[in-house]
Amino acid sequence: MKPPPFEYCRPDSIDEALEALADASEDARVLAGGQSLVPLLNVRQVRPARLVDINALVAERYLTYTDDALAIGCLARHVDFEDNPEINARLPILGEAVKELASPAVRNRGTFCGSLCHNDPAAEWPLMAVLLDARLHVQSASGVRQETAGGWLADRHSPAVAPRELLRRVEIGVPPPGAGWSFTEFNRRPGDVAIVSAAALLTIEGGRVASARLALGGVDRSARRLHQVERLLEGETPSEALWSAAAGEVPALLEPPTDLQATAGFRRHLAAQLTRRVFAEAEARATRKGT
Amino acid sequence: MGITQGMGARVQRVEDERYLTGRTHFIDAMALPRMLTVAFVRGGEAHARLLGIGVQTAAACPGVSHVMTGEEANALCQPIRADRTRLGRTHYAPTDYPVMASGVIRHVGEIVAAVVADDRYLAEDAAEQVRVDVEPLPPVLSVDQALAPDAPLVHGTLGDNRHYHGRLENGEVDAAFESAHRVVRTQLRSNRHCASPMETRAVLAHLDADGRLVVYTSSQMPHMVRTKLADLLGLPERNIRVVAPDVGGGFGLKCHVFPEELILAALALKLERPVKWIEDRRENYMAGFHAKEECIEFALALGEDGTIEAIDAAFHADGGAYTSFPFTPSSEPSMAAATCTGPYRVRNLRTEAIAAYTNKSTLSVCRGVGLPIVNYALEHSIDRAAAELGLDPAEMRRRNLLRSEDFPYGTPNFTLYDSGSPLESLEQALELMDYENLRKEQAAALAEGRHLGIGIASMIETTTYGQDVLAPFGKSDNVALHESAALRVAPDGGITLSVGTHSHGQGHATTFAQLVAGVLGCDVGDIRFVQGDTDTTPYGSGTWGSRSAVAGGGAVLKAARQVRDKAMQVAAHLLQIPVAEVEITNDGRFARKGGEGPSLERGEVARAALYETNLPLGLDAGLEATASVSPRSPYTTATHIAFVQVDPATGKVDVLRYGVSEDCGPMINPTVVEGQIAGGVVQGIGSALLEHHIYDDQGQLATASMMDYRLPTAPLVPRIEMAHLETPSPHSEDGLKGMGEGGAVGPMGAVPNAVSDALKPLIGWQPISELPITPERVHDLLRRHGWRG
Repeated sequence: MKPPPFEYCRPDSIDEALEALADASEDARVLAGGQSLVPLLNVRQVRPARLVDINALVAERYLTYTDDALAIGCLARHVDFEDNPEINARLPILGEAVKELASPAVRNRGTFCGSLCHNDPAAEWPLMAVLLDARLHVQSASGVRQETAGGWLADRHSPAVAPRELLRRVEIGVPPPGAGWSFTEFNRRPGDVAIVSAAALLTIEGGRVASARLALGGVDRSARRLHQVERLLEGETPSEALWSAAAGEVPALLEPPTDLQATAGFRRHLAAQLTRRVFAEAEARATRKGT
Repeated sequence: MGITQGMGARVQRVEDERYLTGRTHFIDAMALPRMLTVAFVRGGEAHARLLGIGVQTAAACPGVSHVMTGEEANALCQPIRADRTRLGRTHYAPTDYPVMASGVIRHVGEIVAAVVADDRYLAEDAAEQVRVDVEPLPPVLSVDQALAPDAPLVHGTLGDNRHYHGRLENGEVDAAFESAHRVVRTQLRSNRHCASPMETRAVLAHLDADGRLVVYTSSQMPHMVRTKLADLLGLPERNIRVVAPDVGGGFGLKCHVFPEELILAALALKLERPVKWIEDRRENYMAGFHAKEECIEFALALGEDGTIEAIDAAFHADGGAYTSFPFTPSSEPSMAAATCTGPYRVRNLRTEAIAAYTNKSTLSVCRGVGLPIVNYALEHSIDRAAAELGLDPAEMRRRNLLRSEDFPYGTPNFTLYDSGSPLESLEQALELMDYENLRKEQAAALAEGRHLGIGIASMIETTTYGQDVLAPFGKSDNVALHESAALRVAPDGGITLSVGTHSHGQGHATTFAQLVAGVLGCDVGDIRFVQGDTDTTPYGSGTWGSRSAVAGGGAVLKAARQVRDKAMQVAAHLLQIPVAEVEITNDGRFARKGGEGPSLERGEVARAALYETNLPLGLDAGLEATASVSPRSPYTTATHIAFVQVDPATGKVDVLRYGVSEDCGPMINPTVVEGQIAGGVVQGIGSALLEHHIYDDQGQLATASMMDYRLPTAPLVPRIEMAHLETPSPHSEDGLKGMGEGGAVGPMGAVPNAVSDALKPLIGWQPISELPITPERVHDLLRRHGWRG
C-alpha cells in the first residue's frame, strides 16, 4: 500500500499554490489534512501527477466571524471546532457534529474544506454545509468564484472543484437566535462514517413552524436537503404527530444506495426514524416566540 | 520479596515497559545492509486458470532486482502439505498448497509473483506492471454450494469439495429424539472472521556469515517454521535459524507456516541479499487465513423438566482454498463437533463435521477454534428451549450443568473433562451481576419503553490440546505437542529461562518468571526471559490453543524444580547438613529449616556448582536443567452474562454490562488472567456484533480494509466484571489450566441470547440465526415477526 510516483510541492503562499495547481502537467490535487486523500493514494485509487501541499499556509487556518456568518479557512482542522466556546455559542450544531467525526487522530489533521472536497455522502461537514446553506469560495489562478453547498455537493464523483482549483474558504450563516437545531447520525461504531445522518433547524413563531430545514446524509450520492418536507412543515403546529408525518414523507423522496453497511430499504427506514428524532429535538431546543 | 512474586501474585507485567515505550523489535523496524523489499502480485480472481505471467516490463522497472513467478518458486520449494494418519473412517483430503499459484488461482489474493526491489514503493510500482493472463472459472463461494452435487471442483484432482468429513454417534440418539417431550431444532450461520493482529505478518530473511539461512518472522511457532523450511526447501534444519522477535498479536493466525515465509527464504538463498516483506492490511485480509464461518444445524431433545436428552449437531465450515499447515480447515468444524455438549450432562450425541473447499481465503484456526460456534449454537438453543418450556434461562442451565463433583467426566464425544465447576460458575456469575435485580431493572425499563436483555452463556474451554484431544484428529503428525524449558543459573545467581513457546501479548516474561520465583524464592527481576529464537530456545511448537501455561509453564516448573533440587544438594553439602534439612527462605536464601545457623545466597550455591569449588561427590558441575512436558488437556469452565439494550426503532444493540465467572484453576497472575478475559470478551463482542468478511458474487473480498471489516473499538466496550473460582487440574504441573481463548467464546452465546431476551416482549423469543447481529438484521427480525413500532 504505497502510492504511485507523484510530484510534490509545498508552496509558501496562496499565489504559489494556485500557480502550482495551474501549471501541473496533468491532474493536480491539494493536500491538506490528507485523511482521505492519502489512503486513496496508498491503495492507488487516485493517481494525481502532482500534490500541492498547503500545510505551510498557516494563515489559512482560521475560524472567523463576519456579520452573521462564520468563515472557515482552507486549513481549519476538525479539531478547531471541538470544545470551541465561540462555535458552541453561535453554531452549536457544528460542535455537536464534530464529536461524531472519525477519531481524535483524524480530527487533529483533517480539514473542513478537505472534507467538502472529498464529499463523502455520509460525512458530517457536507451535511452541515447543505443544512446551513454554506457559501463556497473557489479560487484558481484565473480568479475566484462562488458556489452554494447544495450545487457543489450534488454529485459525489464530480465535485465542482476542478483539479486546478482550491476551495479557499467557506462561509456559513449563523442561524437566527432562538432557532432549534439537532444533529444525529446512526452508525455501528462511534466514529464510523454514518449509515444515515440527519440534521434539522427549526424556528417557531406564534406557536407555528416559521421555518424548517432538514438535511440527510448517507441516503444519496451526497448529503442533501429535503425541501419538500421543509415546505410541508411551515405554518404547522409543532407536535410529535407532525414530526412523524414529516418522517413518513421521507423514504419515498430518497434513492439511497445498497452497500455493505445497509440496504436501500433499511436506509429509508433509518432516514425516517432520524428525521422524527431531529425535529423533535430541534423543537425542544427552539425558543418559542410570540406565544 | 521472593515468594511474594510467585504463583498467584498480581505482579505488574515486566514486558509492559518495552511495549509502552516503543523499545520493541518488530520486523518492520529492522534493517540490514543491502536489504531488498518484496511486494507480492496477488491474483485478482476467485477461481481462474493461470495462462501466463508476463514479467519483462516489471523486471525492467527502476530498482527491481528480481521477479519470481510460480514456475521458479515452486521449483525451489515444495508445496505445503498437512498429511495425517490414524483417521479411521474419517474422510480427509488434503491439498498440495503451492507457495505460488500453480496453474490455477483458487482465491482472490493468492500469490502469483514476487517483485523484489530496493524499496516497497518501487516494488509496488513494478508489481503493477506484471501481466497476469487468466481464464476465469466458475467460483465456489459457500459451503452449501461446495457440497451441492453439481458443484464446480475447487481442486480438480479431488473427487468432491470435501476437505474433511467426520461423523460420530454415541448412545440412543434417534430413540431420544422420538421420545422427547420437545425438540428444539435451530439453523444458524456464523460469520467469517479473521484474526486482525495489530502487527500483520512480516518476514525478513537473510544469510548469516556462515551462509546459514536466518528467517525473522512474526510467528507464534518459530520452531515449527524452521522444521517446515528445512523440509520444504531441502536444507538441513541445523543450517536454519528462525527468530520470532516482538510479535504484535497472533490470535491463531500466526500459528501456521505460510507461503510468504518460504518464498522470502527462497529469495534470500537465491539473491544472497536480505529480503523483507511487511504485509499490508489488504493482503492480510485477502490472504491471511480466515476463521469460524460455519453453517450449523443444532437440535436438542428435551425432557419435560428441561433435561437435555440428546444433541444432534452438524457443523459445515466454509473452508476456503487450501489445506493450511499444521492446522487445517478441518480444525474449526471438528473442534466444534468434539465440544458440542459443552459443560452439560448429555448422554446421546450425533455429530457431523464438514470442511469444504471454496474459492475464498483458507479458513483455519482463530481464538477459540470451534468453541465460539458451539457457544453460539448450544447456548442459543438452550435459551430457546428455556423460552419454549417456560423456564428461566438460569434454571434451565441449573438442571443440566455439570457440577464440580461430576468430574472427571467422560463426554459422549469420548473426551475426558478433567475438572471444573460449571454450576458453581453459573451461580457465581448470577451473583456477580445480581441477576434478580437485573431482571427487575429490565422490567422497570420495559415499562418506560426501553428494551434491555440478559444473556447467559455457560461454557467449557478445551485448553492445551494434548495427545488426548488431538490424537483422534491425527494432528499430532504435524505438530509437536510437548513443550520445553531450559533454566540456567549464572555465577551471580541470576537466572536465564528460555522456552519454546512464544508470548506476543500473553505476558509470559512475567508469568513464567513467577513460576520460577515461586520455586527458587527469587524475584521476577532476577530472571531473564528468552523466547522466539530457535538457536537459543529448546524445541516446542509455540503458543497456540491456550497451551503455554500448562505445557510451557509446566516445563518451566519442572526445570525450576530440577535446578532447585540440585541447588539444595549443593547447599546441603556447603552447610554440612542433610538435604532434607535445607529450605529456601522467603528472601531466597538456602538455610537450615527453621532458620538456625548460617545461610547461603543463590549465587554462592551457583558458584560452588559452576566452579566445582565444593561439590558433593558424584554430582556433575553446573546449575541448569532442561525439562519438557507432554500435557493432557485440562478444561476451564465459565459462565458469561451480557446485559444489553436494543433500540427496536433502529435495531441497534449496545452492550451495557458484561460479567464473567471463570475457573481456570490456580491463577499464576490474576491480573494477567483478567487481561486475557477482558481482551477476549472485547473480541467476542466484536464477533457477535461486528466482524464479518464478505465476498461478493464474483468472489471478490468486499471487506479488505478496517473500514469495512469492523473490529470492536474502545467506546463499544462495556464494564467487564469478573469473578474467579480455582479448581486445580489433576493432570498438570501445579494444577494449571489454560484460559487464553475463553473470553472470546462466551460472548458468541451471551450476546445473541441477550438480544433475543430484549426482543421477547415485542415478538416472543426468536433466535438470532445469523451473526454478526447487525442493526438491519434486528430490524428485519422484528418486521418478519410483525412488529412495526
